[in-house]
Amino acid sequence: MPSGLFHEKYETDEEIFQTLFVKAWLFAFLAGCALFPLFASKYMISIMTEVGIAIIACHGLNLLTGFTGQISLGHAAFMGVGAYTASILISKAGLPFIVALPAAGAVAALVGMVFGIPSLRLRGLYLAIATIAAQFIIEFVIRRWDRLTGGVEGMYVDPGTLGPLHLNNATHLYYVTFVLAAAVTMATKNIVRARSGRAFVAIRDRYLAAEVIGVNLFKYRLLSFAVSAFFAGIAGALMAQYLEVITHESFTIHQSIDYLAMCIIGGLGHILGAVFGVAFWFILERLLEWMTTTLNSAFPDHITWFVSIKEIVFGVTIIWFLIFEPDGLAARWRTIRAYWKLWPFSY
Amino acid sequence: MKTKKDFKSTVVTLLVAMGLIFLPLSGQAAEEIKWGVLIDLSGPTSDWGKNQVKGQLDAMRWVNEHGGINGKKLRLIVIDDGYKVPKGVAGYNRLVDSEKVIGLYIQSTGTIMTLAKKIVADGVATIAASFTSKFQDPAKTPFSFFVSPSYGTMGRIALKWIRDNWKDKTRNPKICYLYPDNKYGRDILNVCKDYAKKIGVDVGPDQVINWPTKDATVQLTNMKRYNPDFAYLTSTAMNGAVVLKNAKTLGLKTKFISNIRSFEETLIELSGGAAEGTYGVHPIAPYGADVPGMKKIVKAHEKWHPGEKGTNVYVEGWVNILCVTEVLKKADKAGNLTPAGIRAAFEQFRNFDTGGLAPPLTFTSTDHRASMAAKIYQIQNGKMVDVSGWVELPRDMTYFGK
Repeated sequence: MPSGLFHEKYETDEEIFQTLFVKAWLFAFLAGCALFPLFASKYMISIMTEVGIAIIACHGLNLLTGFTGQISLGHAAFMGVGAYTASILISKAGLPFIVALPAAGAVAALVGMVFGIPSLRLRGLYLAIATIAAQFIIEFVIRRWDRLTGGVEGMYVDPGTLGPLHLNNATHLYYVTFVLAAAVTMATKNIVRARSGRAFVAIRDRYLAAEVIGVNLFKYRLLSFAVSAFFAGIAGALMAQYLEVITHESFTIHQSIDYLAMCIIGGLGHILGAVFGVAFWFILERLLEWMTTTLNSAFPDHITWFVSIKEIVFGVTIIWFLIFEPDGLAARWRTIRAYWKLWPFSY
Repeated sequence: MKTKKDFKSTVVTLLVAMGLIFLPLSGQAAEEIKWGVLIDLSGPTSDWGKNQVKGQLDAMRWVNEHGGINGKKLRLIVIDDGYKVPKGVAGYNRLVDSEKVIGLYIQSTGTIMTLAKKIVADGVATIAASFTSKFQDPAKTPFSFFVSPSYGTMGRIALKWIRDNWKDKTRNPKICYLYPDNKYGRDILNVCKDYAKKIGVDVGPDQVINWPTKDATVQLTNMKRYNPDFAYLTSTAMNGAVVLKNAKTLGLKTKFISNIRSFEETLIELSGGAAEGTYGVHPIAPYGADVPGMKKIVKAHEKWHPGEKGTNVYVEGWVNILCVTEVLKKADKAGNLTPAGIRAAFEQFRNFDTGGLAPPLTFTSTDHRASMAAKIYQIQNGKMVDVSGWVELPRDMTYFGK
C-alpha cells in the first residue's frame, strides 16, 4: 500500500478530485446540499438560494479579476442585464426559462464584451473606472428605457418553469440554483485548467511576457470579460426569479463592490475562493444580524448602538482579513489541509 | 488512526458549537404578540430610520407599561435592511417564515414593491413607510395599510393651499417639481400635474435632482428661467437640505414646499438656516405640538432619551405603533389574531383619533386611504409653525390608487 499519493499516469495527475477521501467528502457535501430543503425553514432556503446566486456571480468576477487581473466594478450591472433579458424574454416574449437563461447569459456576455474593449488600453485602476462607467450607463439605460424595462417602476417577473419545477416555489428555485452553481464551479475549474485559463493567468502576471509568448491579449481579455459577464447574466436571471420584481435599484454599484469584497475575502485567483468568500460573507452577515436582533430585543433602548456596532464589526472583519489573510480563505484552507496531511509529524 | 479520531472529534465539536450558536435564544415569554419592523438603520436613509424605530420602540414600551395588548405583551422585532432590496427580501422571509410575525412595518419603497405580490400571497398585514397611493386599493393590495395621506394626496393638498391663498387675479400661480429619478420621486407627478391643471396652477419644467445630492445649482438655475412662485421638493432631509442651501445662495424668490420625507427637524439643522421661511406639507403633528396625544410622547422621550432631540419622525413612529396596538387589541378581542383578523380590525377604523397626532384615520374594506388631510407648516425661527390649519380634500375616487 502506498504511503502517499503517487501519480503514474498524466491522466491521474490531471484529475480534479484525486483521492477517494476528497470524493467522499464532495459527495457528502453535495448530498447535504440536496437534502437541505427537507429540514430547513423557508427562510434558510431563501438564504441558500441567495448564496448559490452569489457563488455563480463570484465565479464570474473571480475569473475576470482573480485570474485575468482585470478589476471590474460593474459586475452587478451585468447581472442586471441578464436579469432584465431573462425577465423580458419570459414575461413579454413568452419564452420558456430554459431558453431565457442561456439568452440572459449571452446578452450579458455581449454587453460585457463591449465594455471590455477599453481593457486593451486601460489597466488597473483606470480599467476599474471604465467598469464603473459600465455600471452607471447600464443603470441609466434600465431606468430610462421605459417601454422595455418598465423604467423606475421596475417590472414584475413571471415565474419560469423548468420541466416539473416552478421557480416561484422557493425549494424548486433552490435546486435549480444549486445545480447551476455546481455546474458553474466545474466550468470555471475547467476553463482555468485549459489553454484559455492559462492565458488568463499569463496576462494577469505579466501581460508583456504573455504577448511575447503568443497570447493574443485582446482576444483573451475580451474572452474573460465575456465569460465573466455570461456567468453574471445567469446569476442575474436567477436573481430576477428570486426577487420576482426587478428595478434598477436591485443592481447597484454597492452590489458590485460587495461581490468584489466576497472574492477578495475568499481569495482572488482560487476556484474555491468564490465559494469560501460567499459562505464567509453570508455567515458573518447572518451571525451579526442574529446578534443585533437578539440584543435589540433585550435592550430596545440602545438599538442604534447595536446597528452601528454591526457595521463596525463587519468593516473590521474585512480589514482584518485583508491584513492577516491577504490571499484569502482559499489559501488558509490549503495550509490547514497541508497541516493535517502531515500531522502529527509535520517535519 | 489517531488522526481520524481527532478529526472526528473536531468535527463534532464544531457541529455542537454551531448548533449552540444557531439555537434560538431561550423559550418565549408566554402571551407575546410579535410584530416585525423592516427598516433602514445603516443605509442612505438611516437617519430617518433610526428616529422612526426609536419612536416605535418607545411606543411599544409605553404600550406594554400600560396594559399591553389586552394583557399580552407586544414585541417588535427590528431588522435592518440597509435600504437594499435583496437584504429586505431576506429580512422579510426571516420575519414571516422564522419569526412568524403576524404583521410588519416595511420602510423601503423598493422592498415593498418587490414584495407586493408575495405579501398578498402570504397574507401578511403590512404598514408601509412608503405612502404611495398604489397601496390604497384593497382590491389589489388587501393587506397594505399606512397611516397618512398618500404622497399624491399631500401633493394635491399643497396645490389646493397654494390656489386658495393666491391673491394675484392677473395670473395663475406657477409651480415646479423637483424630484429624484426613482419610483418614489416620480410617484406624484401624474396626479399632481393633472390636479394642478384642473384647479388653475401652472406647472413649469420638471427638475430631476438625483441622490445623493451634492449640488443642485444647475437644476435650480434652469428652474429660475421659468421663475415659479413655488417649488415642490420630493426628497429626503439630507438631500433636500442641499437644494435649499443652493437656492439660498442663488437668491431665488421661489417658495419651497418640502414633502413629508424631506420636512423634518434634520432639514432645519442640515440646511444651516437656509430652510428658514420654507414650507412643508405634513399630516403628523411636530414633536411638542399642543395636542392631547403629545403629552405622553414628550414625557416618554424626556424620560428615556434625556438630552436628545424629539423629531416629527419619532412622533410618526409612535402613531404607527399606536395604530398597530389598536388593531391588535381589536383583533385579539374578536379572537382572531391572524392577518385576516388584523385586516378586518383595520377596516373597522372610523375616524380613529390618535389624540391629534395624525388626522382621524378611516379604513374601509374598499378604501385604504387613511385620511385626506394635512397641514402646511412654515419654518420660523428654526421651528415648524402651522400656517394653514387642516387642509382637507374630498374623499372622491378621481385619483384613487393612482
